[in-house]
Amino acid sequence: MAPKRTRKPIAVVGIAGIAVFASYFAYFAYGQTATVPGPVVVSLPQIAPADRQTTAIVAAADGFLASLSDAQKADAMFEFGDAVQRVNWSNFPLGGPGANRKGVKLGDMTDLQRAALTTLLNTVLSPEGAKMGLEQVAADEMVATAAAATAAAAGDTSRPPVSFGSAYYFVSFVGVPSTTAAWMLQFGGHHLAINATVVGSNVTLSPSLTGGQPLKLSYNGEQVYIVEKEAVQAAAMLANFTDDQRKIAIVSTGLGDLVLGPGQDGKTLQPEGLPRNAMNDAQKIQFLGLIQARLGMLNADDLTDKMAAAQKNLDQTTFGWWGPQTPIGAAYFRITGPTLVLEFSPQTNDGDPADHAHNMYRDPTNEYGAAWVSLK
Amino acid sequence: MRRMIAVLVLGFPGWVSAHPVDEVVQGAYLILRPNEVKLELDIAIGTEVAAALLPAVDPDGDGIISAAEMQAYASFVLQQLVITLDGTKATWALVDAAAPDYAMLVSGNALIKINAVVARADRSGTHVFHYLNPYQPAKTLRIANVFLQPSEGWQYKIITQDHSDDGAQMAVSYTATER
Repeated sequence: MAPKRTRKPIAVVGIAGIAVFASYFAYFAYGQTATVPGPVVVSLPQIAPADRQTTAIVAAADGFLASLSDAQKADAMFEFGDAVQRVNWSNFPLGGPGANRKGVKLGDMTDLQRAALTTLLNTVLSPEGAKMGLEQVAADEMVATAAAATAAAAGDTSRPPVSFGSAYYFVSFVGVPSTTAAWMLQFGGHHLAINATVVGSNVTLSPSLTGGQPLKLSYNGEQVYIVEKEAVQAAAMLANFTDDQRKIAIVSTGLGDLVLGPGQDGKTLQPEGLPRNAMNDAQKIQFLGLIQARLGMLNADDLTDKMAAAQKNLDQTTFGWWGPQTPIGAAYFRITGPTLVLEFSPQTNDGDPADHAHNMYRDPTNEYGAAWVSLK
Repeated sequence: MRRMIAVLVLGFPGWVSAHPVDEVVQGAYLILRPNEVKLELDIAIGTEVAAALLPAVDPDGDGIISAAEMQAYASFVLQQLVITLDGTKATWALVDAAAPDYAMLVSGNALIKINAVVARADRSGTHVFHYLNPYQPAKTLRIANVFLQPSEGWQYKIITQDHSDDGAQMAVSYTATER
C-alpha cells in the first residue's frame, strides 16, 4: 500500500451526505461553538492540510456540538493541553478503578443528539468499527439490566458502586474540532475507549480499547459475536502453523491478561512469540489480515497509512499466544511491532472467557498523536 | 441510539461486579532502567476471594485501609517477590503503595498498586534477571512483562524472555550498551 499523502482518495461511501447532514445540525441548532475553550497553542510540526476525510470528520463533530445545549457543550469540551482528560479513559464502568469519565453522557442526550453522534462515529470509524461500538454499548445495557435484576432479587436497594449501562457512555473533545489544529474525540464507557486524535489529514486511534461483555449477543435481531473476525482469524493462524512454529508462538499455556490497558501509556512491550519472518507467504498474508481485523475499526481512508506501516514493519512484528488453543476466543494473543501493539485479552469472570474480552490497540510511536504534535 | 439497541436480555447473575470475581490478578511491570529495575505491581482482588486477602490488607478489621496498613501489606508482598540479577538475589525497596477504598476493593472495583525498585549496576554486556512471584493468597493469575527505559548513558536490548506457564516466573536476558 502506498504511504499516505496529503491528499487522499475518499474511501468511505457517503461522506458528502454525512457532511451535509452534519452541516444541517450546525446551522439548525445552537450556532457556533463560541462558548467552548479556544484551541491551545502547541508546538506543531508541519501539519499536512486536512483532506476530505478530516473535513468530513470536523463537519460531523461541529454538527454534534451544535446539537448540544450550552451546558452540555461546556461539559464536553476540554483544552487540547489538558493532559488529565487526554488520558481519562478506562475499561472499567464508571466508578471503577480510575474510571471517572467526563463529557456528555449518552443517557442525557436527545434522539437528535444521538443521531449526530452516530454520524460523527461513522466518519471517524469504519462501518464495522462503528457497529462494533454500538454492539458494545448494547452489551453493557444487558449487564446493567442483569445487575439490576440481581440486586432486586436480593432486595438490595443500595446504589451500586459502579454504573453499568448504555447511559454511562461519554463523549468529550480535547481541543476544538478543526481542520488546521490538533484535537481529539473521546467516546467511551465500560469496555470501550475510542480515542481519536485528529491532526490535519491524519487520524490515529492509539490508544483505543475494545472488547466487551457479553461478546455474543442478539443485536438488532441478529446473533453477533462482537470480536468474531479477529478471534477466528487468530485461531486459524495458530492452527496453520507447523508444530515448530506453534512452539515458538505459544509463549505460555497459561492465560495472559491485558498489559497495556488504561494508565499504562508510554510503555513499550518487547516482542514475544513467532516473528513474521519465520512465517511462510500464506501465513504472512493471514497475519496481515489479522492486523487489519483490529485496525480496520478506523475509517478506510486513515487506515491506509496504518496498514502500510504495519506491512513495512512486518518482519519485525511477532505473534504471541498465551493460553489454550481452543475454544476460539478463549486465549490471550498479542501482536507486537514497531508501530502497533494489539492485545486480545479474554477474561475468566463469569465462566466463559470467550464471552468477555479487554482488547487494546496502541501505536507506541504515536500515542495520542505524539508523532504529529507536541504533547505536554 | 436507544432505538438502535434491541437486545435480548437474559439472566446473567454474575454481572454485578466489574472485575475480577474468583481470583486475584497480579500484573507485574518490570522496567529496566539505569541502575535499577523498577516494579509496578497491580493487584486486583475478586469479590469471591476477598475474604482470603483482606486480613492482610486490613489487619485491624475496621473497614478502612490506612496508609500504615497498606505500607505493611506492600512490604509483606515484596518480601515474597524474588528477583535475581545475574544470579545474585536483590532486595526490593518499597517506593510507595496507594491504599484503595475498602468497599471498592471488596467489590472488585479497585486496584492495589505497589511501586518498588531494586538497585543494579550498569555494565556493558549480556545480563540476566529472574523474577519469581510465589504470592498466592487465593486462586491467582500472575503475569509479568519487561519494559525498557533507556537513558542518555545506557541503552538495553532484550535477547530472550521466558515465562513459566503459571505466570509466576520470568527470566530475561538482555544486553546493556553504554552510549
